[in-house]
Amino acid sequence: MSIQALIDELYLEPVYGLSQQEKDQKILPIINALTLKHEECCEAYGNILKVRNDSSRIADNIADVPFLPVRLFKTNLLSSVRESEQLKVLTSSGTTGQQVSRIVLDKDTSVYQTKTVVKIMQHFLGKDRLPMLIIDHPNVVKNRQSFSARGAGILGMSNFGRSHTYILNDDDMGIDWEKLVSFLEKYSGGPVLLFGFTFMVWKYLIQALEKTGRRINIPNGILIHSGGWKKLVEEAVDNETFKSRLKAATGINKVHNFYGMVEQVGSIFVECEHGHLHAPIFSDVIIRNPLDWSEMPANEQGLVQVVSCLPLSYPGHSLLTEDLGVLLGEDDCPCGKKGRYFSVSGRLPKSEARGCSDTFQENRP
Amino acid sequence: MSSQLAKLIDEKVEFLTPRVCSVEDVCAQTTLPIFSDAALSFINALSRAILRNTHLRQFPELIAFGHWMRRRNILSLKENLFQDLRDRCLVGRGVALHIAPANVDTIFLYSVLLSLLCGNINIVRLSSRRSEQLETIVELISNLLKDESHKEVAQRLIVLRYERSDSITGDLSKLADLRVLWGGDTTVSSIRKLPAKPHTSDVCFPDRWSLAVFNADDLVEFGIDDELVRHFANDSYWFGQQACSSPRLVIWRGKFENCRQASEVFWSKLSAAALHFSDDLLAVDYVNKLVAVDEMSIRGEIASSRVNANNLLSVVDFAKDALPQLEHHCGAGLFFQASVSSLKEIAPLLESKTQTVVSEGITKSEWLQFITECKPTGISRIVPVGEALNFSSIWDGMDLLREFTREITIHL
Repeated sequence: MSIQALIDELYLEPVYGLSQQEKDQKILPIINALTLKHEECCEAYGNILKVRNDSSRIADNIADVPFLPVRLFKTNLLSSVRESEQLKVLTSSGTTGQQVSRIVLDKDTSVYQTKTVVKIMQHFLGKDRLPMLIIDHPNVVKNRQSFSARGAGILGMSNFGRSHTYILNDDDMGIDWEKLVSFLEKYSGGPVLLFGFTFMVWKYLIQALEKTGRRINIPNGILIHSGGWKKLVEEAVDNETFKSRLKAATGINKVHNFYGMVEQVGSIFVECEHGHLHAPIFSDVIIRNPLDWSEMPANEQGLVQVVSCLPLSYPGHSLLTEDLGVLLGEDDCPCGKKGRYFSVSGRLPKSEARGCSDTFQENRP
Repeated sequence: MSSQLAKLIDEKVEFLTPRVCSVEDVCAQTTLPIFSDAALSFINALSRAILRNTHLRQFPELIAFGHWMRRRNILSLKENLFQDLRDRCLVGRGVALHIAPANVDTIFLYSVLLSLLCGNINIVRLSSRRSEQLETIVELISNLLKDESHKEVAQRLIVLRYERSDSITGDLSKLADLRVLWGGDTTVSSIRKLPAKPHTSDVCFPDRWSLAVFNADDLVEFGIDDELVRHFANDSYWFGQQACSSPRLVIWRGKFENCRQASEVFWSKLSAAALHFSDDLLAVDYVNKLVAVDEMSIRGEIASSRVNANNLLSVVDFAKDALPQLEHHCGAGLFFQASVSSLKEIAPLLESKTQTVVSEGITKSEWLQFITECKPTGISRIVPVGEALNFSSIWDGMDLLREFTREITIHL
C-alpha cells in the first residue's frame, strides 16, 4: 500500500478516539515508510542516517524512529521532491536577523496539511463555518508565494470561518473599531471564531482593550491561538492570567491554545478544557532526556520530540524541538481524549560562551 | 592623552581597581625592574588570597592559577630567565594594554601578571560580559591594591571595563608600547587595525585548536589506565572543551586493529568519566552537538558517529579526504577521531591554528623526528595527558617574558 493510502485511512478514524496502542499500530508503518522514502529522496537526510549507524530504518516503535534537530531547517533546505514538484516553501517567523526555517511542501503534503487542520479543528469548532475574527492585520497574508508562518497559520485557520474579518490596522496594529463593531453587531449573538497568534492576541487585543477601557462582549466566542509563550513569559503572563484577562476584556469563555511549528505540518496539539495539549491521530509526542535521548517518564521535564505522518515532501516526520515539555499521561485525560497529552514549559535555555575565543558577539555602539 | 579620551573614560569606563590617578598619570609612571620586589610581593599576596578563598574552590582553573603564582614557582621562572640572561639586560617595554576575551576564560590573567613581572605598566580591558570567576578575582586584586604596601603596583595596574568601543580602545592603543590581545580572530584583527605607536608590538592570542595523539599499540598491550582517562576528561571538559588547548581531535597511532580496539575501550571509559562534568553541560549543549554532527554529515565531512552511553561524549570519524573545521567547534565533548600508522600522516591535518598536542605513549625523540622531517604547520606545545590546560610562560610559541620586555645590549 502506498504511504498516501495509509495516510488516507487515518482520516476515517476519530481524531482523538484511538488508544495509544491502537494509534501506534496505525501510524508506525507510515512513519517507517517516511524514513525510507526520505532516506532515498533527500540526500542530506540519507547522509545523516548513514553517519548515525545506530538507527534502524524500520523502527519497532515510534520512540526508535530517528529524529532530526529542528534547527537543521534553518541552515538547510531539506527536500525530498524535485524542484518542479515544490508547491510552496513555508518559512518560520524569526525575528529580524535570525535565520528562518524553510519547509518545502508539494501538492500532496499541502493537501494533507489542510485536511488535517480541518479534521482537528472541527473537533473543537463543529462542522459549520463560523463568522471569524482574525487578530491580525490584512497584509500578513498578502504575498501568497512566500508565506510567513503567521500568514500560513491564518490562511490554514481561515477554512473554518466565514466573513473573515482582520481587526487590526496594517499601519499601526491598532484595533479597527469600525470593522470590529460592525462585525459584532452582526454576529456576536451566535458562535464566533477568533484566531490569532498568542502574542498578538495578548498585546493588540487584550492589552489594547484594557488600555482604552473599551470592552467587547462575545460570550459565544471561541478563541484559538498559537505561536508560543516566549514573549508572554518574559512579561510573567501565564495561561491562567491570559484566559482570565481575556474573559474580562471580551467575555470569551472558550480558549484553546495549540502547540505546533512550521517545521512539522500536521502536528497541531490543541489544548483541551483541562489545559492539556493532545496528540491527534496524525502525530505523536515523545519527551526525551537531554543527557542520553532516552524517553522521559511521565511528569518529568525533557525535550519535546514531535512525530507526524504528513511530511511527504521533506524529512520532517520526526523532529527534536528546542522546547521543554512534560508528558502528562496517556489515554486518561479527564476530557476523554485518547492518546498522549502533555504540556510545554518553555524554550531550552541558551548556554554561555566559554573558552579562549570570544564567540559572544558584543553589541557595537 | 586627548581631553576627548578623558571625557569618554569618565562616561563609559568603569574602574575595577582603585582609581589612584588618571589613566594618563598611570601611563606616565616609570617601569619597575623585572621581577621587582613590588611585583613579587603583590603576586604572592594574590596567590594566597585566591587559595584561601573557599568560594573559589569550585573553579579549578582559578585554583591552578593561584598555584601557578606561588612564590616558589615565580622564583623559579626568575631563576631560569636570569640563567639564560647571564649579564644581559632586560627592561619593561612600558605601557602594556591587555585586551581580555569576551568570554569567561581567565587565562589572560597569566599574561597580565607576567607583564607585571616584566616591569610594565598595565591597563587591562575587560568586556562587558561578566562571570563570577572574573568578578571574584578582580575584587581580590582590587582589595590588595588598596593596601598601602602595594602602592607601587597600584600605580601600574588598572583594570577597566567598557562596552566594545573602538574609540576608547584606539585612544588607549596610542598610549601603549605593547598590546596583548586575547580573543577570536575577528576581534584580534579588528583591534590590530586600530593604530598604536609606530614601535608598539602586538602579542596576539587568536583562535587555536588542539589535539591528542595516542599510541594505540601500547594502549592495547598495557591497557588503558583509569587515571589516564580521568586526566584526559579534565583536559577536555574543563571550559566545556572550548579552551584553545582543549583537545578536539584524537589521533590513534598504531596497527589498524589496535587503533580500533584502543578507541573502543577509551571512549567507553571516557563516557563514564565525563559524567563528572554532567553539571557543567546543559541540554542546549547536547542539542548543539547533535546539530553540529548532522550538519557535518550533510556536508559529507564525517563517515560515522559512535553511539555512546550518554550525550556527554560524541565521537565522529572523518570521511576519507575530508578536513573538518576544527576551529569552529561547539565543544561540550565532541571529538573527531582518525587512525594513522605513523606520525607523519598527521601532518596534513595541522595548520597554523593548531596549538597543543596532548601526547600519550609517543616519545620526545619521535616528536623531534616528526618535526624535523615533516616541518608541520602549527603545534606550539606537546604535553602529557592531564596538562593540556596548564599555562606556561612560553605560550603559542612565544616566550612571554621576552615578548613583554626589551633587551638593552651593552657592548663594552
